[in-house]
Amino acid sequence: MAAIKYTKEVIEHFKNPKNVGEIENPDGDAIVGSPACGDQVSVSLKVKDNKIEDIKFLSYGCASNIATGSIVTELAKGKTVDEAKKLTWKDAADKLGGLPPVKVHCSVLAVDGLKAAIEDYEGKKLGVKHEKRLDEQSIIEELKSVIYPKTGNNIIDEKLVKYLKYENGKVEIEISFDETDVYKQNVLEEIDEHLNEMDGIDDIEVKVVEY
Amino acid sequence: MDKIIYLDNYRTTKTSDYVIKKMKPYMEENFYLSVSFTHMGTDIAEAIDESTERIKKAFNALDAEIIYTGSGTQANNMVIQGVMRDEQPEEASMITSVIDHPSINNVFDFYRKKGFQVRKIKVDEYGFWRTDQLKEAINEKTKLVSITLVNHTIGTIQKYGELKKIIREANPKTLIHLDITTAVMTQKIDFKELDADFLTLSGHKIYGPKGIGLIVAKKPVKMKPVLFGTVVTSPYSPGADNVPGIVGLSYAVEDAVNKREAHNAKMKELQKYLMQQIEEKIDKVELNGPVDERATDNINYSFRHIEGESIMMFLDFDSIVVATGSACASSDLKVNYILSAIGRDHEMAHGSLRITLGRDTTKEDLDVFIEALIPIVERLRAQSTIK
Repeated sequence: MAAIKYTKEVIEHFKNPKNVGEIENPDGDAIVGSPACGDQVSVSLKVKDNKIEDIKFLSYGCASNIATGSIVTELAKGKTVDEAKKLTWKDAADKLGGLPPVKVHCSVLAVDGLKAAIEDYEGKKLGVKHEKRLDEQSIIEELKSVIYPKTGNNIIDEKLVKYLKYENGKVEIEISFDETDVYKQNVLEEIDEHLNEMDGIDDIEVKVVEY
Repeated sequence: MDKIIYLDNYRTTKTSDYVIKKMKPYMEENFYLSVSFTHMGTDIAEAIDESTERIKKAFNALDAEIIYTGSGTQANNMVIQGVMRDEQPEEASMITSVIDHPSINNVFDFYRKKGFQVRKIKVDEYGFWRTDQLKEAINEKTKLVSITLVNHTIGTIQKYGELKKIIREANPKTLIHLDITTAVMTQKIDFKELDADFLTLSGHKIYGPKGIGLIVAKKPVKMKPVLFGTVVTSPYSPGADNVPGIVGLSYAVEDAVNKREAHNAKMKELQKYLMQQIEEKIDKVELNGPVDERATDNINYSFRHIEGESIMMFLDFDSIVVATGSACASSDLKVNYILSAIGRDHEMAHGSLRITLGRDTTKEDLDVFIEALIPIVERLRAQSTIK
């Protein structure tokens, strides 16, 4: 694999990140990721008149993680809550002049963090409940946040998941990888991490089919 | 651009001017290959023979067979695959450790997949082989044990003598493969004394050229060829010889061996200095690997609460080159398997820096490095989610 280079926008936001810190008495905050997966981001925000008045982030992570935290908070600042909710990883990546596919995993966290902080705000201040029903469709939705580092697409759109069944708290998944795929372990760990976060799943069985 | 401070000598070294000078004629007027009955061709054959003798002498391996390869990785592959070539899964087993280089580890994985009994010995918290596991794993079926003398990440010098004794006593027929790639610069390499069946190494880690590796094999050579083609210099490495590479490698080996003691003393002093500086000036750091029985040119620290790729990149902005064990900086996003094997948690593994010293490293370089590192660690900690 060729050596990876960041764009000058990524480097600039990595060197001089905007909105670093924590807001005291925030209206919403969240922490996503874990040192185990390599990165962690926290986002805290203040909302006034349904607009994001102030937003800050902290990051334990690599340059793409820090740069995305910086750009996502910049993009969200001043937007209405509903507008901010619609921000995507792609919006952030485009603003940064692109991100290497292998770095999607690290950089998507800032976007997840923003969404989680907004959900926290909605839950606390507005009483909105984000209840998730658990079925095969919602599991597939969750697996859409597992990124295949080689291409930057999620593992569902990448059609790596060949079979999925949910019954009595048990998820069975069949996933296919090429024999030489270096990302296999990484993807498996990510699947585990995501499914473990979902309430109602007691048992996860992932079968790897190599071809 | 500022002067580059290069502290990644375990990744590769700069080919020395001395070696380049020795290689140059074989890229210019003496560009031919080893061919019988011609002046040009026999001159080349002689140059290869002289190189081989130079290496044998340097390693006290006068009776050994010298086989040139395309790299250290190829050397390890040729030995392991050459030994295992005609073996059947139910009749042969093989042993290495969980912290060996991928050019050993991944070949063993391949044989495991083919059904061979492959045992990877666990290591203690400093990276030393667990001898109890080795004793228990070795049996009459054990065909090969691959050992790396100096670990490429944490600098652990294996207690090779002890391991060899266990292996030879348990099964005298078991072949020992010793990878000395990261050991040549600082460890005494005496082939007779080491009494391994195979040594492997690479040119570019010892101020030689890239694209050349070496197998030193005890005679009779107990492996089969895995590459086929026109045999010129050795049946194990058919095809056109990398003549400049062979010549360059031989001088690099000789030079490393001749200068080893002085080099080692200098490395030891620099290592001690940098370790003191880091531990004195930065808090929440932990040394990975042993304090003693550690190669003098290797330093590896984990910096709590921050991630290594970020540290590495900020150092890079200051023209300082180091390596990190962070998954973020690896192409496959996997947590560093060596740091995991010695019991480091994810945060510690991600926050690790490998600083490897070389011939050109000065105390002033280390001062510049440490002065650059302190504010980087501070700023990254200030913006980290982990406190």
